This record gives sequence, structure tokens and C-alpha cells, in this order.
Amino acid sequence: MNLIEVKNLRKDYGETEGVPALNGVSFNISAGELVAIMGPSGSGKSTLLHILGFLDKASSGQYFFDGKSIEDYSEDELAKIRNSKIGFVFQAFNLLARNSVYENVKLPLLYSSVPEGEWDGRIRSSIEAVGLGHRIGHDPAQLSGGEKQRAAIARALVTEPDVIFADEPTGNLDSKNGEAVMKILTNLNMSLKHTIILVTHEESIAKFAGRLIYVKDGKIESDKKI
Amino acid sequence: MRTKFLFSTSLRGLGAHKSRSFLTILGIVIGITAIILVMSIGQGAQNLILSQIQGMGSKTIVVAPGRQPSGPSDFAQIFSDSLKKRDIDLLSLKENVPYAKHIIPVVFGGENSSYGDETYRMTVFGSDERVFDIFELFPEAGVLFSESEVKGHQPVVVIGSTVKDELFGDSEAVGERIRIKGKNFRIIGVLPKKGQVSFFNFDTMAVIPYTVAQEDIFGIKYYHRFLIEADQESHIDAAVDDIKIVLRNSHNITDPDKDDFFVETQADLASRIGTITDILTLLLVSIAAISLVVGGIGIMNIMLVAVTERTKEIGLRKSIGATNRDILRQFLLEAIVLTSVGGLVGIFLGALFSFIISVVLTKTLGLSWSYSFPVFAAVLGIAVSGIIGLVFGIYPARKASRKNPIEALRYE
Repeated sequence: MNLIEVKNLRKDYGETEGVPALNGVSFNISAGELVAIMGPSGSGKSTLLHILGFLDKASSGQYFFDGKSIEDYSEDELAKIRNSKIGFVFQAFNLLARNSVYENVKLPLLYSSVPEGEWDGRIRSSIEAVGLGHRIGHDPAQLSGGEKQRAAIARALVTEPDVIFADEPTGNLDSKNGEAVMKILTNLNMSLKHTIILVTHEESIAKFAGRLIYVKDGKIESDKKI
Repeated sequence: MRTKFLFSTSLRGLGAHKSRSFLTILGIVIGITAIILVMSIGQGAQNLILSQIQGMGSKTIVVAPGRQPSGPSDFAQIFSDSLKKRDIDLLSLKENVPYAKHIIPVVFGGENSSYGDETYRMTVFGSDERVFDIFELFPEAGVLFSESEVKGHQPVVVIGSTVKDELFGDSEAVGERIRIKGKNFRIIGVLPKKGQVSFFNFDTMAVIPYTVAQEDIFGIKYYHRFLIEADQESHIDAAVDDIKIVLRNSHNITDPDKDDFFVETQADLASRIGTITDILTLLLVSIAAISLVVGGIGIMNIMLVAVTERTKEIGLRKSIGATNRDILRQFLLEAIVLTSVGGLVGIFLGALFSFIISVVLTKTLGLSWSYSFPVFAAVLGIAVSGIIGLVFGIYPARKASRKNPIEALRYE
């Protein structure tokens, strides 16, 4: 069954009227896939990721998540889905300063319906899953770039989402740390069957995916298994 | 977000900028401190004045000449000559005012007194022997004058402690003679220091028989006041009605609006004083409240800065599941916590300063100033500071909650 199904998505921004960021994008993603969306700068790949992650809405077209059109969801329901079914990993990590790794990973649980008694176990196992157990009490300022991104991945994992969206997850890392982060994501996909959709412009990163969707000028230029 | 985590999140947000948070709440602290201080001092002043009024006895009714002053131009009225001997005679008849126990005439005015080379400007208070009971005055030295000395026009005087100190210093005064308006008076008693009682300060007075005061000092045949003591507190209102009827008949007045006298009970006086001090307190509190508005604007300003600074955090929270309402509640609570902490600090400081002032007034001025913590003002202070947080925090909080998560995440 398709976890994600998009049909003829179009996105227009007011300031670039006539030149859509996305123009007739259609594809399906099944549960358990690791998909890389690639494309040059300004191609619309980040816009696509934001729409898929419920952070933005398409100007036209249809988007079905888990078989249900997102048009059927209210703003609060979309927030709930972002919390319970989606995990985000950002290029800039977006960890809260003055909050330890533990506190940062806990953040999504504050907005969740997960019973409080389960929180500690989930937080610790998420942090362990990214190999950051020895840094659990450290603040972001005390972590390396790779460790920061691993903390961000742990934060995305803590609510046990159906899908993880990663926007240039290695963009701020050197090649060694970038590769380590990709290995963690690959491992999550392989062993825990998490669906992972990542946006990148680096071919070396895209090669970790099982499927590559290439976007150019707001259109899908190619969609192939690797 | 669950409420307890909302609190911890808000406190963490404020704790990130401790000095800024402290400076932000100063306006609220100053405003609430000022309000508590003003209300506490107002209450203390009211208590002091009321206790002094009550020093005259709760059953005492005062009859004064002229209309009741309703403005500065009416004050000359109280020196009119409408209260005459005939009025005393009529009021003294049991069938006219059955609940009146005593009717005491009073005349008073400022006069110079001298002893040897010493002179002192004092208040000459002419009345009869019963006035000492009404004001609960007992001599520190010597005796008080009697009915026979009043009726016999005897030039005797009982002086207050300040008069004694000014004219005699540490020397004995009883038995000496002082001159008041060219006439010699024999000092028969000295009153102890008593301070203000009702509107009278007996420390600076010389109490003499009213018969002598009328003839030899002021040269008048009328009275400045009648002090009428009712037999019971529950009869005061009835006695007041009877007094008014008798005086209107005596003065041929048919329209109560044209009364040439006014009657006041201790309750009336207390109520009037209470109203005046309440209005003054309200005025001062209103001025102090301006600082609360200024403080509130400061809170709004800082919260707007905080929203801008934490734009990325807002974007992140929204991307991981925070609803607009969660963000609004978080920033609103931060503003309310800021102002409420300011309110609590203000209440503490206001209570502390007003206590210090009460101690200073008691120790240095000898006033029987009772410290009173204005509980109502404290409750109001907390409520007002919370409301200020709500009012001035809502705009920044709404601004935060409406941020587009993608734009917020991209914010640098």
C-alpha cells in the first residue's frame, strides 16, 4: 500500500507568479522505502519535501497520506500528524540551545499523546539508536556537527513516526560525518523499516537510497530504483 | 502541550535571559510597589484619623453654626453666630431631645498667652467642666475646673503640655498666672501630652470656662459648637432628628435647605473622612497605575523581541507537532509569568516599605500609626499584573503562533 501518493502537485509562490516551484508532480512512495529527491538549487525539491511533510500546502493537485487526502485534515490534525507520524531532520540541525540532548529529543513528546511513563524509555532508546548515549546530558554547543545531526535524528525517531523527512541532512557536515549520518538513516530504514525521504544535491548521499527522484524546474525528470 | 510542561517550557524560555527578564519586570515591580505603598499608607492614615475621631466618644453629636461646608467658599459659614444661649436652653429640655444626656457649649479661637517674658500662640478652648469627660482628659498636675467655676466666671485655666513647656519649661506651672488677651488666668491644672483628639490638639490649648471665654476673650454671645452626648449609641439618629427640629423651630426655619446649622455624628465624620482618604488613595493609585501601563508596554516590547529571536524555535516546534494554540499559550504564559513575578516582588517590596514607614512614623513623630497590609490591594496587585501580562502578551504571542513554520525555520 502506498504511504504517500501525490497527483499533479503544483505550487505557486506569489512573488514568482507564472513560474511555479512545482509543476505537475506525481509519484507514489510505499512504506519502508528510502527515497532520495535530488535536483539542482531552485529545482523545487525542498518545496516538495515541505508539502510532503505537511509544513506547506500545494496550490493544486492531490496529496494522499496513508490513504487519506490532506484536504480532509484541519490545521490541528495536521500538527498532530507531524507529531505522531512524521519526523524531521534539518540541514541546520535546529537543536534548542541551553537544552541537553535528552531535552531536545524529548521535545516532540511534549506535544504528543504518548503516555508520560513511556517517555524516558523512548528518549534513551532513540539516543542509543544513533550512538549518542555518552552525550545524553550535553548541550548542543558541546557536540560536533555529526553529533548534532545524530541528536536531531534521535529527536525525529522518538515518536516512532511512519516516515522521516530529511532536508539536506549532510549539508552542514564533512564527508566522514555525512557518511556516518547516512549509515544511521540507512540502518533505520533497513532494520526498523522506517520510510525515509531525503532531499540532497549530493550524488554521494543519494546513492544510499533505494530510489532516486530527480526534480528539475519543478518537474520530475526521472524516478528510478537504484 | 500539557500544562505542567507548558510552565516548565515558559520558565526555561525566561531563564535563558535572566537579566533581561529582571529588567523587564522592573516597571511592574515599581508600579505594584507604589500601589501597595499608597494603599497601605492610605489605610494607615485613615485608621489614624478614625481612631482620633473615636477619641471623642462614639455617642457625641456635634452641632456647628452655618451650612455644612461643601467647598472652600463655605468655610466662613462655620464661624456664623447662629448658635445662641436660647438654643442650649431649648435643647436641654428633656421633652425636646429626650435622648440627650449632656449639652456642652464650646467656643474657641487663637490667642497669644504670656508668662514673664515668654509668649506663646495657642488655642483658647472655652467649655464647661463636662468637656473633660467627653475627651477623656485627666490632669497630669493640679486639677480640672468645676461647674461652680464655670458659673462663677472664674479666670482659671487648664493648659496643655506644649503650652506648659513653651511658657514654663521645666518649672512648675500650677498656681502660676498667665495673661491671655490682657487678663490674668490662674493655672489650676496641666494636661498630659495627648496629641490629636478628633480635630483638637489639647497639647497646644488652654481650656477655660466658656463663660469667661465668651465675655473676656472673644467678646461674643454665641457659641462655636455644641457637643451633645446621647444616652445610647442606638439613640443617636433619633437625637439628631430632635436636635434639628428644635433648632429649626428656634431659628424659624421651615426649609431644611436653609438650615443655619449642621449636625454631625461621629459616624458621619468617620464616613466623610473615609471618603476623602479613599478618594485621595484612589487618585494616588491611579497615578501609580500609569507605571503599570508603561511596564506592560515594556513587557510587550521584550516579548516581541523574544518572538523574533526565537523564530527558528517556533518553526521547529511547529514542525514537530506544536499547534498554533500551543505556541500562543507558551508565549502568553511567559508574559504572564513575567508580570506575575513582578507583581509578587512588588507586593513584597510595597509591604516592606509601608512597614518601614509605619515604624518611622511611630518612632519619630510619635503617631499611633498602625501598620496595615492591604490584602485587597495585594490580591488586586496579583490579578492586575497577571492581566497586564495577558493584555500586553497577547499580541506578541499571536504573532508567534501565526508564524509560517517554513519561513520560521529559514529565519536567520
